Amino acid sequence: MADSLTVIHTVDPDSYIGPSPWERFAAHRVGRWLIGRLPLLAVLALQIALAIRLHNTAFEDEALYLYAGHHEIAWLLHHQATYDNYSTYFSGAPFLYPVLGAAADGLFGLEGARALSLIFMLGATCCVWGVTRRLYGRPAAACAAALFAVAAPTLFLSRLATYDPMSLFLLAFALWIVVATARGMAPLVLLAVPPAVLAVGTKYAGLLFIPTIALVAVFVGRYGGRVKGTGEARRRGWLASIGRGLLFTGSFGVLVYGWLKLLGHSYVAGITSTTTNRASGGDSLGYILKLAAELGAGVAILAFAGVYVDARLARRNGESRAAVLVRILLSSALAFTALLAPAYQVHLHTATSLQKHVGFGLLFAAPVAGVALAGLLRIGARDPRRLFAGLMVCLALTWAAIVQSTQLYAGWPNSSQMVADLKTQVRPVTDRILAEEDEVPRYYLDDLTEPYQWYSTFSFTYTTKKGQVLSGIPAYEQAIADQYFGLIVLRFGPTAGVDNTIDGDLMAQKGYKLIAKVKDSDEYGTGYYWIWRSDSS
Amino acid sequence: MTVLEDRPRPKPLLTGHQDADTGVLPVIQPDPIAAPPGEVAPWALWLSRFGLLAVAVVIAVERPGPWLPAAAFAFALGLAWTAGWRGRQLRNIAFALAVFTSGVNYLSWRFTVIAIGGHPLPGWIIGIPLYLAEMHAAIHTMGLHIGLWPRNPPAEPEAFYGRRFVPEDRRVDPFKYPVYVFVPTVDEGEEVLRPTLTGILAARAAYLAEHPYTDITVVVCDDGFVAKKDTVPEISDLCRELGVLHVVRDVGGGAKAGNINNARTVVGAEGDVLLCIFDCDQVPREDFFLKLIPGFDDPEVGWVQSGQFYGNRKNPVARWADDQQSLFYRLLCPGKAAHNSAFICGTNFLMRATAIDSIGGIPTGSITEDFAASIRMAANWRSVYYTGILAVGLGPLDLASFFKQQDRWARGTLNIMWDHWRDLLLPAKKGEKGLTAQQRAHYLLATTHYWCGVRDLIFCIAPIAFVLTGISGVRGATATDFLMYFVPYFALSIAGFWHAAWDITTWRCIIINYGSFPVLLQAAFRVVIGRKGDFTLTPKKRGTMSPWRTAQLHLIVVAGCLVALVKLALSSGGTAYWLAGFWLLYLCMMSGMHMILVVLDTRQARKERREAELHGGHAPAEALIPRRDPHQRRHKGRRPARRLPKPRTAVAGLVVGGAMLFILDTSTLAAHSDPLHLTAASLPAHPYVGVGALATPYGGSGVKAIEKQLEVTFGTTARTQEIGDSFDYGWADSISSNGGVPWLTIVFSQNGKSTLNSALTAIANGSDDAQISSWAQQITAYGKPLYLTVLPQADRNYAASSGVANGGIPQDVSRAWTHIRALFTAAGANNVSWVWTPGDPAHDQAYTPPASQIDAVALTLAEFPKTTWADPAAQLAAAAAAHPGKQLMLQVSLDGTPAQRVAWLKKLQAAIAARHDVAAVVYQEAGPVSDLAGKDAQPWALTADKQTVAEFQQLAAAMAKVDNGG
Repeated sequence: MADSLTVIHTVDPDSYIGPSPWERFAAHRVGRWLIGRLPLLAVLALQIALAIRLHNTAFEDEALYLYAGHHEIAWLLHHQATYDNYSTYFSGAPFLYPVLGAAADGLFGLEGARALSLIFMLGATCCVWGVTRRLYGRPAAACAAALFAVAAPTLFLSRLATYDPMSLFLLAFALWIVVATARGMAPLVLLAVPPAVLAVGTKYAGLLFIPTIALVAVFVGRYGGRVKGTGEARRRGWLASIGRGLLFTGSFGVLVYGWLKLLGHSYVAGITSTTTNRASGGDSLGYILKLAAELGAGVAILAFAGVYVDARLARRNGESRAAVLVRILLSSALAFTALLAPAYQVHLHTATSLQKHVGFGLLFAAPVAGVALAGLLRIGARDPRRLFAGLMVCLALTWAAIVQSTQLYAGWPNSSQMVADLKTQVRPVTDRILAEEDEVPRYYLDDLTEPYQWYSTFSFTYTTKKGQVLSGIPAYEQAIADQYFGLIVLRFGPTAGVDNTIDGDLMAQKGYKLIAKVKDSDEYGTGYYWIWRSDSS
Repeated sequence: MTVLEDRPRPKPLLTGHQDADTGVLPVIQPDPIAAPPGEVAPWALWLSRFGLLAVAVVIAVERPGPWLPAAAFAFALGLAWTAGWRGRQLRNIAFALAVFTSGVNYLSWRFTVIAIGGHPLPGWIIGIPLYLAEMHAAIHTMGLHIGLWPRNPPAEPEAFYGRRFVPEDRRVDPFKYPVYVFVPTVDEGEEVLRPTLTGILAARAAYLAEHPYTDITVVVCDDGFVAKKDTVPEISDLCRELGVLHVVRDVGGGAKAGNINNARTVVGAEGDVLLCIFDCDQVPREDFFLKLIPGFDDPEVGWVQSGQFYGNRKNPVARWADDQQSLFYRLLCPGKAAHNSAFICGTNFLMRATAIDSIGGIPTGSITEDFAASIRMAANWRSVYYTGILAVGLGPLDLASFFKQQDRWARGTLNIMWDHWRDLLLPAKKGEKGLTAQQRAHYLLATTHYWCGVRDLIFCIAPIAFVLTGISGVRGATATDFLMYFVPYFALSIAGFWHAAWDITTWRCIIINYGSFPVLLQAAFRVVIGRKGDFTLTPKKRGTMSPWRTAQLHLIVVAGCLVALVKLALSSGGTAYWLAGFWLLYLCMMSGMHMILVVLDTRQARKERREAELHGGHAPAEALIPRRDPHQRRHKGRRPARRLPKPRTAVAGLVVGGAMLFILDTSTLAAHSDPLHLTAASLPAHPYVGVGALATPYGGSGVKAIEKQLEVTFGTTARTQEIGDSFDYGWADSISSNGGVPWLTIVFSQNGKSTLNSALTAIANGSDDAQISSWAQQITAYGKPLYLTVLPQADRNYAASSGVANGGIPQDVSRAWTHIRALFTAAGANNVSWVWTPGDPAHDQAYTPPASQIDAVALTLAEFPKTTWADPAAQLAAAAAAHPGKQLMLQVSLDGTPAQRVAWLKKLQAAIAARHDVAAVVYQEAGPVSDLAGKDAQPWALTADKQTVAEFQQLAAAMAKVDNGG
């Protein structure tokens, strides 16, 4: 008989060899701290990755503010003339962000200034996490941070060296302080006032969102105190919570008033012309609403859903009708803030900077939107289908944000070749250069030129050799006829009307030679930078 | 100090919200039947399906590139973590989503670059099949991840997949059912059957010990008589010895299915009973019935399947095949079962007799009757899969057996698609219950899997055909596209697969799957032409065929790849060809690794022969030891320390890595080491004599030929290069080796034309800094004295960088010159003597750089015919007066009669001899003409006439007597 087969079933598990490195890490307090914030870290990593993929040369506003910042620094340190009174037409205090941005720009270049903006926006994301965690718990916080971090305006602002990221961060920080101090003594809310004032000083439009912070201060003020032992929130009376709000608002008002008094009329003029009494634009209601919806509708809809989810949770948790109402008011105040910026821009009939201002609204709406997303995920139940649905929502929003932020970032022409060509021609001190959107080449050629060498196609005054003072089109035409400018750069963009009127002599090569025609493309299509050089230079 | 998490964390202000610390969510016990599943309405299910489809369509249309998969991965990780998933399941979620998005992204892009036209053969001939092959691979990759998508909380080491919550009032006692165990056999004999029956009896005993009120009947279904084998008596004796039933058929038909159906009828295994089937080599574990039968507490469960693993892993083919089995049974089956889409695998399973009877018994029309039965039963019965190793069997003993088995499975599975396409693709008939969407998806994936043979053939042909004939399946794709679409998809697919398959299988499963493609190809061909073929048993004994005979097609592929690679090496044609080269290498590697199995099988055959001879013609049986169950390790403790790299491996890695870094580092060092002290050229004791030209071929034979003709060794050679060129070390060294000093002129033109970057303002403003710095570094690396002219003739309007034309003004010259010098100084180029070369050095005050920035001044005396030729002495004197204290350098060129040239050279000789500040005199071979070989250059040549040559020889000799006082 043949040998029989023997069967050995090896099903015994490997012997257990102590805790794994992960378990040891999780047991340590630093590990626990980090693990508790892993979703936030993942979101921040994603925000960084999606932001740094955006590439373009300096935007007109970036160039203007950073350039101004350098001259403000020179004035502060050496009392060198700035050649311009920036406070009269800047939409934020020129000695705040521009100085900070220019410092980063001076150290690390434009990418350094943009990195500063990224840091501000990452800080804002952290504040969204913090606010939401303290209001609605960690799962909602993770969702809120994710929704905010990958919104198109957030990604766009993360790579834009302008006032907005700093102002947005300061607002977020103020909001976080208001929420974080809710359980403390009422005067602690005053800690939120300096960042709020700085936020508004950094960008005057930030004022639009201060009422929301004040409302949040009132509503979360209701949850002052804590029951000893359980740590449960204890309600504060309406009077006390309204008093908390008034304390914040009053202090804010006093500080702002004092600041304006200190700084003088030029700042008031700046605030009036750029923000509070800004000239109406010609953009249609439909266009503004469509743009706003594209940029923020996803998060806004989730935020309104979050109001419902929060109210339902409150009812399920046995809260009284009055308490539920307070929560609805709080959530609604946050959710409706998403609509403030579009509403104000509709009032002004302008879509200018809407892409940035929508981001401010999302800062407030994101916490409530996080509640809705966390509800959809049904945290703790580990339901794969709900997870899938939640992921689909996030992916759809992320995708839209990727596409939109790319479009937004390609909204201005890449000026690198134009600047490179211009760089081959400019002559320090003596050359006069007329350039459409002169802020950009002026910024890039800052080390070669002086502020007074630059002229833009937005406004110009010219005194002829006979002493006649001209302005507008006649001034340009006469200056060109006199070969006043050594170099002229037109791209028939924002001032195409002026360009088309004054380019007759240039096109006819009378006194000027076309030395380069550089292709550019922006959100409106493909065009060219036309660069002429004076024959007499 | 209270830091971080030691500080008490406040609870949320608003109650009712979850605030579980997302890092330490309480572990939910993996017991899917303890609680009812979350309610999902059918509309929600369909909505999510349409949502998925919509996402796929939008990605396909928009093709967002690699960022979306990256975002999907990050989001999935973050949100799934937040929602409570951890570990492998968490990562599977992330990979699933990333693979899905990158896969659709890639396929949609790939569709846009399918080659259609072309010459001499239209591209679609390879383009469309290649696309379909890629689509097949991508869909199956995504299918794998659909199966991995977590449906339930993490399973126990051994757990049911696909088991659902059943309310108490609907549960049935699963232990009440009588069990009939069928062991079909044909010719395997007692040697194989005894352990199987022994194992079954042991499992029966263990089961009956706990559930004594039921019964398990063991039946051996013997087809030996029908197959005319001589094993019937010994099986009969064995059955009698062990006390099991022995049913021998005398009428054939229906192969294995017919055999079992017959035995069922004979023993009356019908009604409310459970049927269990074991292949005759599958030895069950003692707790087989105890583990599986509880799955029947749900009255709708039709069958419970467990895995089929091989224990004879010492045999190389069985070991590789077992790895392939592992992938299927340990990864795919649980995933399918989780979607109620498990199928019967022919052995090691229990099924309800009523379930199989509902489709009229085990189907006999298919050679994979088990799978056919599953599809027919799945609409009305639930299926469950058990993950543990409950039985161990014999794997194929040689490659021929393995391929035979693969051929049977492939034919059977592909035929099922043929036979059941209506069930899988069309809605159910009115009044009948059809398959669910998940079941259709999983069964479709299973039935189309074996087209991978055709797919792999296309993958083999495409790169070879492209390299050898130029016929490409892809048109219009760039390397960037490839990076944007293919690389993320490929990387994520590979990473996702290996992440899922880690511990479960090895690389061998991939190789043996690829190695099977010839036989799968044959099976697909047979199915297409309508030949189903017969049911063939996997032999349980080694055959006599050489393993190399199974590898013929692989050898052809390797040969084709090698020929293509040789052609590629001889004449590369760009990025596309390099990509093809990558695939060729990949195919060579895959085929080569399959050859490893062939070699192992050959050795195994030899070894078995030797052992058989040693043991009198009969090799001893070996113990069946299955691969360790990875589910155990996945759920218990940390990975054993032995899995960490061994110290010697780490040391080897460090050594190799360090060596590579060193090589990389040293390869980036400058070819010429930096000398410690660089010195510029001082005024030589005697003026250097040399030749030069505006054109650039003055580094080689031209100079040597003139030197030979003149019988003179030149002390310098002048050369003009454009800013975009590189420093010619060979040229410079050839001069310095004779004790001379090279004279280099750099002009800022591009291909002879001036550009915006040639402007003096451009140079001064830094537009050319990168190129200037590059020159500076190269000249620093050269390290020996060098005369360098930049901005030549800057006071003339024809100069590339002019101070009087192209927008330049005289003041620009000094700025540009100073800027260039600053860059050279920054690079440490102290070996440069700066030669200012204006058109008129006597009247260049408006243009000249600061005197401190100039080491020498060059006069350019190009004398044209029919003009008054300049007086060299006067010119030198004027230049010296304008630039006191500077070395003078001369570049001369003459176009005139020999007598004129001789006379002027005599004057020049006298003028230089009268001075003590001339560093060099160079004859410009082509004068102002840039084309050295052109007709216009000939009259200017030094060697144009003998008289001039003789006079120049005299001049050279005279220069040696000029004393500069050095």
